[in-house]
Amino acid sequence: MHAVDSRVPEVSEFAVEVHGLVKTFGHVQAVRGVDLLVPRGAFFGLVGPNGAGKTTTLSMATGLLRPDRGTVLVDGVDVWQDPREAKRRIGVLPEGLRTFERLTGRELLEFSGRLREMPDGVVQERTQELLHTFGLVGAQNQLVVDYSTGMRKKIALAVALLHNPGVLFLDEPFEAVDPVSARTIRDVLSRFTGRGGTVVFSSHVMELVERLCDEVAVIVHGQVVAAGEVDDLKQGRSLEDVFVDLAGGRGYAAGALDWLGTS
Amino acid sequence: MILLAARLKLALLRGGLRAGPGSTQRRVGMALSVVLGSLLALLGFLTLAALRGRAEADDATVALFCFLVATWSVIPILTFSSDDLVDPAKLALLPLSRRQVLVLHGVGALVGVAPVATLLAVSGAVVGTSSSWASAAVAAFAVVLELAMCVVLSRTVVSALSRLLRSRRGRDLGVALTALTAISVQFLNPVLQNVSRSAHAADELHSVAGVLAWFPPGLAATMPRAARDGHWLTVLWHLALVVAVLGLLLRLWEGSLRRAEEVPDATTSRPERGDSALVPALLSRLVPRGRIGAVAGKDLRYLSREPRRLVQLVTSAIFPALFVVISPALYGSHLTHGMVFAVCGIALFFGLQGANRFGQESTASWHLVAAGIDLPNARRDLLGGDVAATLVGVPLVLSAGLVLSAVTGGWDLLVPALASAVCVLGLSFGGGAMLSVFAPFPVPEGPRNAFSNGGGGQGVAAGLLGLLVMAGVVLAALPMLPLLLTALDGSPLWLVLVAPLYGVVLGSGVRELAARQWSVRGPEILLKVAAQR
Repeated sequence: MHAVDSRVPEVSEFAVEVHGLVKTFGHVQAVRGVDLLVPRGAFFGLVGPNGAGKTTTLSMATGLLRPDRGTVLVDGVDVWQDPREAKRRIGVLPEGLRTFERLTGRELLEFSGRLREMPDGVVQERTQELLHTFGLVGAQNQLVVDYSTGMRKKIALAVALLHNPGVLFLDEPFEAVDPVSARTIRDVLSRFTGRGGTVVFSSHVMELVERLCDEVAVIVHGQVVAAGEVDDLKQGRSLEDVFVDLAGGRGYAAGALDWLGTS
Repeated sequence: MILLAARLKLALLRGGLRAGPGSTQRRVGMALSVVLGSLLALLGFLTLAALRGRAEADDATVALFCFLVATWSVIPILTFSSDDLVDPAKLALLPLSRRQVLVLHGVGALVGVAPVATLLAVSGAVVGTSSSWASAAVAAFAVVLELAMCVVLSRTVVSALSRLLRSRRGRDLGVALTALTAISVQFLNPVLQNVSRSAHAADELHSVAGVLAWFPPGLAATMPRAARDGHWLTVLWHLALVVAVLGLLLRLWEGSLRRAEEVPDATTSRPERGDSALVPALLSRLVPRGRIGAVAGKDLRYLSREPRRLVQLVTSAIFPALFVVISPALYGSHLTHGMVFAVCGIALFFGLQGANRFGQESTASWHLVAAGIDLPNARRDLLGGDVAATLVGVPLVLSAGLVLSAVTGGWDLLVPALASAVCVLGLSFGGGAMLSVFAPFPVPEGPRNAFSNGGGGQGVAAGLLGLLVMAGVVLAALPMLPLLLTALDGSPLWLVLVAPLYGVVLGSGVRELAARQWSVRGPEILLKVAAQR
């Protein structure tokens, strides 16, 4: 019954609802009860220091890593109870996972479209448009293994967009990307949210998060320590200051390193 | 300049042995190469010297000269990254004339274990082929020419390929060549044993040397004999040819050095491929559409583009060659019935290459999980892999059967052999699928090693599992053995129908079990193959 119910979900104001996610690796509790509510059409930033559990949370939210406890609803569909329906609505750009890099950019898009049993004509058409938008037409016949980091991020984002999902989960989409590629990615994402799509992305670049996001959640030690609209969180300060305070980054004593720069 | 070059190379060699990260490995490597070099040098020298006064001395000299030049031209491709002085770009920033660069490279190449070992080995020719002071002098001169050819040819190859060797494609080529060299050594061993045991070894050597004598190293190697026989015109003629070839190589070397310095390296000039679809055009009619086709197309592309897959394919493809070489060596005659088992062996080796498929794909399988792996999709994923493997495996088995039938003359065994092979192929696909989902293990992305199939400490476990699955496939195929034996007695019709059917049906059944596991445990399998990234 549950699956049938979730197939026709009630229209929720949230595109993504995460409740009580927990994941333990051996003795390490990577995620300790994460709750997130992402409004429809939002640009939602997930920030946190290295090892805070951002990637683990995103992996569980996208059906790539099974949570020990907790639920994830995308458009009201439970990702782990009805993965087939949920995954149709999700586009993923994971971090730290490999891709089929011995395919060319064009072949990788064709592969992704066929995986989702999309009609050939649609795949061809969208592939052409995506390659054009991301400035990859000239590189479409090169193997992805020969791509630069920026090109890899762009082709990965193109793969995530190909099946026209409603929600994008992007893990560090701007990491090691040059300013030109970053601008392209930002423009595409802005257009996506402008038309009602929802973006959840993790990043270390506070300035970018501050500029792009409507809402943000700060994860530290596997828990959400603050969440809400960016302006509410900032309260007149820079997001970076807020983040560093929340993450406990100012740990050294006032008198430490006094000798530095005194020569 | 010459002294400077020699000192620079010695300093590089010393620097490599200093303490630091990886120094133990380098020291062991150096010690091993010194021991190996000395052994080979001694072996070469003593062999040639011991043949003094015998007709074989001249032939052995020709063979050794040619073999060494060929080896020198291939070695830098395999070890390109290990010698700083080999890469022409390393000297590009120094204010040196091209002539000075040539000297630096040339002298650098003459200092080291390999050149000294080469010189010692070929010096045996002076003892082995000379009968007078005059012919000894000619032999010594031939030895110098030989060393020069080794060095100049090797450096010309490096300069010409230096752009390629710094690129990903070059590294791929290196990985594939290293593996293939290692494999071919396994082959050469029985061949050489066979030849050396043969009563006609000297005749065979003579006929081979007769051909090799026309190549430049052969021309140099035949100079002492001509001198001994008093054919001084021939000596001069050979000398002129060899010097001309050396001059030509020097010109080529200089030209490629200039290009290597002037043209940007391969990371900025990206290799282009022609417009290509996921599924190769030739096979597009045979590959289903949709998800099955996606996986099959990807697998087919990987087979030709991933050096490790390519090496695996070649390994199983040369199985028949091994059989052809070994069976006469072991049994003294062609073993016709053995051909059936050889073809089945190929099917087994090739079929099991799909084992640990998610480990081989590393974490890239997330694409499949993210697109959904409900049971129908999970079936398509594994079936797609089998479709690709069938499209390559069946022609492979077929051609192996044809070749072996032609060589052994056992044409009447072709049908039973192929039928049994298809049976084994189907069962191996099943076995491979089971291993892929029930015991996946991470495969490290070894940049230089085409043989690394299991992660650190897991290699042994992975090997054992592989053997276990192989044993399982053989056991599953056993019920077909009586049919096979009947067929070998001359009634193949039963076998033709039953054995492949049995293999494909049972294999598909096992694949169904594996698909269920992939569908249910996909994320866990992804996590397992991601470990130790």
